[in-house]
Amino acid sequence: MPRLRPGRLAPDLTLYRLAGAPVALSSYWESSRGLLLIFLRHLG
Amino acid sequence: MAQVADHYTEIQAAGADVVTVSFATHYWAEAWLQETQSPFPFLLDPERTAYSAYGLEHSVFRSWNPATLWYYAKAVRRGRETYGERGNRHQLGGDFIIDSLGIVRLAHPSHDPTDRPAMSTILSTLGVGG
Repeated sequence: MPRLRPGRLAPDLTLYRLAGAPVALSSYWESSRGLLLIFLRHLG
Repeated sequence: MAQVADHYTEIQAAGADVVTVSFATHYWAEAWLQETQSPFPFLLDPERTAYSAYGLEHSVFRSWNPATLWYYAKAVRRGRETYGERGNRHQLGGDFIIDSLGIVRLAHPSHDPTDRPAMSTILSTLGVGG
């Protein structure tokens, strides 16, 4: 599995809002000065 | 994540934002949001395509170490449900900071479920308070 390192382009994928609407991850980072993306683990 | 929530106002004031991604089912995601009152935008990745694209591992061994078991023990003692009952217990998470051009500025795939970057590192990379 590839390790994503600083300086690389972040993968842009379409995920889903709770109501089901698709949304591109890039729409969040393009509208902010920095985006913290937290991938939850099984502990929440 | 509660630690990040404590700083959310500062983060937003700096023009940054926070998004959480979960592989939970819709049902358990709603339950989790209800319980945690998480203030962040919340996205679902049921097929874990983003988890995979960001290089987040699926590890039985690293998901069950003493730190994880201790975390669970404390959570149960506090009366909190553990979401491992509701999904894949072996999927590891991670934290990434991405700038407005889509460049990764911080990559912290979790070594185990309790492994998170320091709050000070998150804030400085986001340009908060500096």
